[in-house]
Amino acid sequence: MMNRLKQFLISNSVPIVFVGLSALAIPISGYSAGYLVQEMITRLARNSFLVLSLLIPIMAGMGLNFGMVLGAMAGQIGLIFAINWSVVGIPGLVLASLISMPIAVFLGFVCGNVLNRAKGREMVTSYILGFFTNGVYQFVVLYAMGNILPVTSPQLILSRGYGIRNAVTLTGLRLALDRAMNFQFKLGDFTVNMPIGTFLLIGVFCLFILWFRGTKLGQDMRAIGQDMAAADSAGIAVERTRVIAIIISTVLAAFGQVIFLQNIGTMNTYNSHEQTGMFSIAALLIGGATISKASISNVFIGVTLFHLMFVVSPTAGKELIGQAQLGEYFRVFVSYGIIAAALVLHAWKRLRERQASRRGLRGETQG
Amino acid sequence: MSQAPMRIRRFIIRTVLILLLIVLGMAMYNIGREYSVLLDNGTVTIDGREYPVIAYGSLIIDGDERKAIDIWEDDRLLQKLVGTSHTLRVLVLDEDDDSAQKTAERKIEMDFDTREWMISLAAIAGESERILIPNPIYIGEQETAPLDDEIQDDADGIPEF
Amino acid sequence: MDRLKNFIEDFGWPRIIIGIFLLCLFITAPFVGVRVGTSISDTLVRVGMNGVLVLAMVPMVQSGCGLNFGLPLGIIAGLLGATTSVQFGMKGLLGILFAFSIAIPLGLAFGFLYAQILNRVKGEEMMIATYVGFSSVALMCMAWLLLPFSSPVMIWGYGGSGLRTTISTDGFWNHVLSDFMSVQAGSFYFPTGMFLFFVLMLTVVWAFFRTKTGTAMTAVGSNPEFARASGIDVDRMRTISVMLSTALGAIGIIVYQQSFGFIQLYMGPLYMAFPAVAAILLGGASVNKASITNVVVGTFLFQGILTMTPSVINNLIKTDMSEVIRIIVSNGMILYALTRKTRVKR
Repeated sequence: MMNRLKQFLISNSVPIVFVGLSALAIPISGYSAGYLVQEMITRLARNSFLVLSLLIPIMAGMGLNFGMVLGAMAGQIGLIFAINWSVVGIPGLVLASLISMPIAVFLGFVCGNVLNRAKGREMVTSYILGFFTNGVYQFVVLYAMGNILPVTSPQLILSRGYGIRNAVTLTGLRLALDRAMNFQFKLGDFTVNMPIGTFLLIGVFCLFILWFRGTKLGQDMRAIGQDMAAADSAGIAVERTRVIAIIISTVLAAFGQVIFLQNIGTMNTYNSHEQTGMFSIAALLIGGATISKASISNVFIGVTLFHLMFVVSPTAGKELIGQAQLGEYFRVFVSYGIIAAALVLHAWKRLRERQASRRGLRGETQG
Repeated sequence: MSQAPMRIRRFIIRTVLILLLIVLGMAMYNIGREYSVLLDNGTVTIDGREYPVIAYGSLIIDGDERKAIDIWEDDRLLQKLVGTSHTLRVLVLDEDDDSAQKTAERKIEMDFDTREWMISLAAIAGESERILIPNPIYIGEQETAPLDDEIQDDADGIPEF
Repeated sequence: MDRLKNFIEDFGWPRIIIGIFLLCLFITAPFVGVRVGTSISDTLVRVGMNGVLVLAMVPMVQSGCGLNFGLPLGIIAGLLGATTSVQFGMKGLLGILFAFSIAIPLGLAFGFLYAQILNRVKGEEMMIATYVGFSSVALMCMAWLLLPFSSPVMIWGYGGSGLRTTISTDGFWNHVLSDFMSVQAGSFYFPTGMFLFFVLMLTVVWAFFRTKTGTAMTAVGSNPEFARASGIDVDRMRTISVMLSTALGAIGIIVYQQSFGFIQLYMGPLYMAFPAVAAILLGGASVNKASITNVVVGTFLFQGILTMTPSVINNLIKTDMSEVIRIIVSNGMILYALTRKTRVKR
């Protein structure tokens, strides 16, 4: 019994620490329960889809897909076209997703093949690939759109005649999904909005992942994630399956970015996607996921805890030390720090396992 | 053995799926397209007949009576309409007791350039065959002036993440 | 013909393409109204500024720790040295030497701690280094707000506490290295002092790799199993290399600042590792092998492109695409290095 409790505490140490941190920071910040519940609901609706898109590559043993920013870029290109043709409401969002799909498939295909050339260092490679693609994206959006690509809406195009504005207001698309099936309830004297439609989509995505795990492809991915060499000798097309995992992740990230931005309502053409990867990954890790194992519950716990800290920390910092800036830096530090810590713990564990198996091979006794 | 037929079947299924996605995209484009329609209430002459201005009236778009718009003499309205076909119901009202003196309904299709043409409400009320009149301030196909300030203003007050 | 093919294979297509691109830029420059003299001296100044930061990659690559994406850690040590020196109002050569004297021990200390992490995560150093660098930058953001600095040139005017985001080195040790014996001829300017210092650093590192410890370090990098069998303490060698890299990063940023004129705090150092990594790869280094020549060639090529593209491309097509080109070139180079099939070491 004691042992099992200990095991539980160890394997859930990261979420527990964050629950503790939040428990300390919430009273200091002085936010009302209603406000916090509203914020958490909004942020769960906004971010869950993006974070869920990380699960499949983890399943295939490819680590955290820092290349999800590629999908985010595809989603933004889709939105640009929907705005340009002034297609609004849910049809606009569907159209944006449809346009982003082939782009995301292509980018995911490229990403998957690049990662196949960099086995064992997928994460750093996909990370740099994100930067590289950002350069290409900027080229397309800043120079090609309005010149070569038919984007004409003055709402999008810079006054010099080509290139997309830095901040694009998503008029007509803003909250289109969230408001489609909105459910209101009272909590104290605070009216909380609950975007049922968005949560339905997220629910469908969760079901998809559960179903996918059971399919042949899903089983193959798990086999590859456990042992690539063994999977290869068992006749699984390793490289192809890995490419598929990344393509699925990229396409879903594109949809996720569309959902994310319709909630925000403004697209920062040149920044919105950059933070997507980091914040999604940090949220997943805070939810107790590791680089080789992540579940759906990790996603929801992680998004809630991460964003609770996100909302609370600036005010808490202000109340404690008198500087809101400090709280903001604190949350940046936590985002980076949690990723660093998760990577270190994972690598350390793997190194010890490797050393243990090496010792085992040599026939030495373990101390 | 069944390799070849499988491959063909898979190819067909994929092609159909892609076509379906394209069709869905086109449908979304048609359903969700937003048009900025210019409506004009002024005395117009179409095909030799004069349609007098509506002194006071009401415009109901797609039967939504809660969003009825008041029309006054020489009004020009900008309406954002989503989708390709709409019904415009124009009511000519009595200024004293708001009773309808005349009601005319008209179906419109968005198959015209919404910058080049305005819809004449007077012509709808007079049940004219044609209801489109040229937009007098339309300057032809050229670059529209950018709306820098407006768009920047919209952007504030929105949380970052 | 075969030899040419081999050479190209060795050198790598991206480097050749970028080299030719740079050559084209220099050739077209005079025709589109760019003053070559200014361009060349700009390039040279930037080489001097960034050289030591690029050099900071070498020890870690050589010992098999991979590309030092954790360079911001060293930069932070340098920033602490620089701010302390300004705090005490140290001026001129004395000021910069004081900054070095604070920064180097700090760099070594940070490097030691950093190495303790890296030694436990062999094989995945690069991603971890990136995030260790990032989180230390974010941690220091909080520290810059809280540390008890009081010099009025450095702290925010109105609040009374916390350091400014940029601090001018003007009046302290601005250009002390650059202007030492510098040559000015018309629009051409050569920062002799900075180059002498760069050469000094190159020589120190070069000499270090000729010592017993240095040779051992290279051995660890090229074949850790073999090195271990020969009685070399692998972890110790890696620790030394990381300390050395971090200290060089600390020195590098101070050299950078005295030429740039400003100390950039807060999120400033966040992405500073990437140009340095790209530069050394451009110079011909790989993920596990780097030399002094790679540093010099790479810094020249990379900074040359950074200086030349804005001016030439701007004049050529009247569009500023330099930022996009910079992103694509630097990250493309890193990507190329990461995806090259290397000998599997494990």
